[in-house]
Amino acid sequence: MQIAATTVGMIAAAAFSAASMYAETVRGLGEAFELGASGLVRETEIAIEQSGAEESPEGRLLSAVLLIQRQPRTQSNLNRADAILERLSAETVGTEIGVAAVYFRGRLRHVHAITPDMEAAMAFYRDAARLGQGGFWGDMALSLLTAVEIQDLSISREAFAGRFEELGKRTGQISDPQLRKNLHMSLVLSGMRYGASDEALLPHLEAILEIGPVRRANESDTLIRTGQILESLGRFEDSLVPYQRFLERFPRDNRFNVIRARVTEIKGGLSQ
Amino acid sequence: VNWERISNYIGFSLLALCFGIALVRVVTRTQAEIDPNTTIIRFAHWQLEPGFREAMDEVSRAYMRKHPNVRVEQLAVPERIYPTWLRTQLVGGNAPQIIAIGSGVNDEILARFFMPITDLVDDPNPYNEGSVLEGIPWRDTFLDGLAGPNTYNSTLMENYGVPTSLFTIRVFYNVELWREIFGDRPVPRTYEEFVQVSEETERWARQRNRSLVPIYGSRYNSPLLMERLFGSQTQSLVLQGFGLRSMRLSTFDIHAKMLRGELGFHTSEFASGLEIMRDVTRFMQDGFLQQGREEATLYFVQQRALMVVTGGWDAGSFRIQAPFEVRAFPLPLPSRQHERFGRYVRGPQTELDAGLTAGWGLVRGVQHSEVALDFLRFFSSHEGSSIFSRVSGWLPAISGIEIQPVQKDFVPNEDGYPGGINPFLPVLGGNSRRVVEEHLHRLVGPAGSVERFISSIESDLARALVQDMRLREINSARQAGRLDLQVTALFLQRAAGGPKSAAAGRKLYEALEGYMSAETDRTAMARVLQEISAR
Repeated sequence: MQIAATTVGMIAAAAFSAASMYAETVRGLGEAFELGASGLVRETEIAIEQSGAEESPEGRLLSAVLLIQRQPRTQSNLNRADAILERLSAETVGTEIGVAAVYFRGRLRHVHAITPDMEAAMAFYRDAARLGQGGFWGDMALSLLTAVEIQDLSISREAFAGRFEELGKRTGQISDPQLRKNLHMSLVLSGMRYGASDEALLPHLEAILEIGPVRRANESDTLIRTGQILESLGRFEDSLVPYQRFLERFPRDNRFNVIRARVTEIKGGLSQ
Repeated sequence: VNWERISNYIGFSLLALCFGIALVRVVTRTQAEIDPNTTIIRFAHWQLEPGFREAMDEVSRAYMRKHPNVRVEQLAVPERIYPTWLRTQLVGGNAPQIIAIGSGVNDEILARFFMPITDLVDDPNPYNEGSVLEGIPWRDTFLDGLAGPNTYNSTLMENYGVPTSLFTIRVFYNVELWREIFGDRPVPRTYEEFVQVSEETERWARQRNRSLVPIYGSRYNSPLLMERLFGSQTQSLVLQGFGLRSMRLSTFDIHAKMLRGELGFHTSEFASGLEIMRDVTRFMQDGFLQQGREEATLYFVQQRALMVVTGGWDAGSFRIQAPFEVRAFPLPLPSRQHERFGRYVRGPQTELDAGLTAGWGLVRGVQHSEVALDFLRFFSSHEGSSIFSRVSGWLPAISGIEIQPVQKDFVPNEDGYPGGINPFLPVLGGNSRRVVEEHLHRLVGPAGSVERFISSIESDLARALVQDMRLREINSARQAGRLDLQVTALFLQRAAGGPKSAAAGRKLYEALEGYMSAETDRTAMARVLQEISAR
């Protein structure tokens, strides 16, 4: 009994120690994260090298993304990045890093390849969305997949409404509210460009406002769009809510006077 | 008398004197620099307009009175060489502690060499103690809360600059000349009055055989006027859902519509914009597009023009250089009732969003950076900003500062509606802008006409628009790569935990909002280009 307890204790201690060492290694990458967040490629590469954690999954993921970025873009760098990501995705199955690796194999073919391969890119996004369902990178992959699919050139304007409704349901599969809101925003932009009806656009706009955009420009634009769509649907009283919120939040916006005049007009119309 | 020998002596003596003076200056300067009790702070900028340097000297002196052990020096670098000078100093590690952000500073330079001040501006500015701004977070003492497009960098998601001022575009006029021509007549408040004043000035000068034009134009000044005039005719496009029903211009959507031929100089609002540009530029001197900013200033100061259009930044120059009183008024635009140009006008153009300048940035990793930051706190305090604004004549960037009488002409007009589209299409890309500029001579001047401009520009602009859309797509792919790196780094930083995790999470979501919009636009760009090539 005592031996068993000692063994469990030793295993626990070893696991704790390994976890601490791992946390320390990742923390060593802190400077690289900081520099990467500022978009500084060469400096981030140097920081990874100096961290001693370049072989950690985090270090390898960041190195692969940096290789994709490196200018001038060369096929050899892209191949190296793809090889790192392929190995990483195989070795870290079931983790966020593993899903991120699959996602970036898609990004590489979608955006960064010298000759983009959309079909292959979409296949990777689908894989990432399936493998990472409910996680950050799974949500990212599903969002991107939807943003591309909604703008498919082969869809006629007539068929767009059905496509918009069908793809709009995917927002329900995104678990992170902020990422869900971003997909709603993407759908609104595409919907407006390709002719979605006001009835179809409205729930997406309302969802964006409920979660709340982070960027001020997105918040002000969404408030005005929502007001305009409510007005065009004849819901004048409801349109006052986003308009008044706009007036409270953005007194120095150059659209302030237009919206204030509109609010007065609507109120005048409602009181008659 | 051997004059040759004497002149040689004089030459050598002058040379020795100059050498001596230079030596003394270098030695005294070096002594000051090695004085352990003196901290030297230097700031660099390109603002050579009279008034600005004097104002900065005055602020520096006020700061040095409070901190006798600090010496503040300014380095004024000509605008033309500023970007090169700046890069050399930053890369060489010799940069001063404070540098004016603007010309030559892109996101990469900001990220690499400048210190973000986002976290520092949430606390009150200690130099505001005892003033109306006491206890208010430093950020909120700026007129735009440091959230404007020049003061907040949405790509890097940080504040970098301490703004100096805000500017509006005005019609400057020679007060003495005005009185000579018009007596006590007030300045024009309507477009009709503005045109009338210009016509009368022309007539007045002709009758007296005076070399005088109503408005002095140049390739620098005229676009400032043309943009607002053209904007008055395209205003309704913006407000009628053109920016995807947000009443804000969506540059990508304008570009796409122009490529598809749904919008362009041939469409009625654009054509009316060209008409009004022609209607006003007829009051400028012949060949104005070949002249530069310096010539415009010189000719105005020499009383060869009654008016010139420029920004509030030139007010100090005119005040000091002109031997006459200079005042300014907002460019009057047509009202909705105007018979010829009222059809597309929604109302007066607001200046509510007149942006603050990017201002002063702090260089990373330099000596005494904490003193430099302290100097910027003083500069943007109630006291510092009051001194700066009073001496420079520039509007203050800080709220609660008393506006000087000379500044009243430049206070932004807060009424009215957003303006329209810029005729030079700068947001669409360099090729489109170049084509518009190259064809402009077919619009203005005695031989120009709207029809001539439209028929000549069509094919060149169509080509330029495609080139710019391709460039837009290439740039967006490059930006996508940078965003991929940013998002990955922020995700990993957030996941790693630690003190920076929460801030990384905030930035991650901010970056992602831009990421998804950029991806949506990028896919739309590819779709537009496919549509165009399929035709």
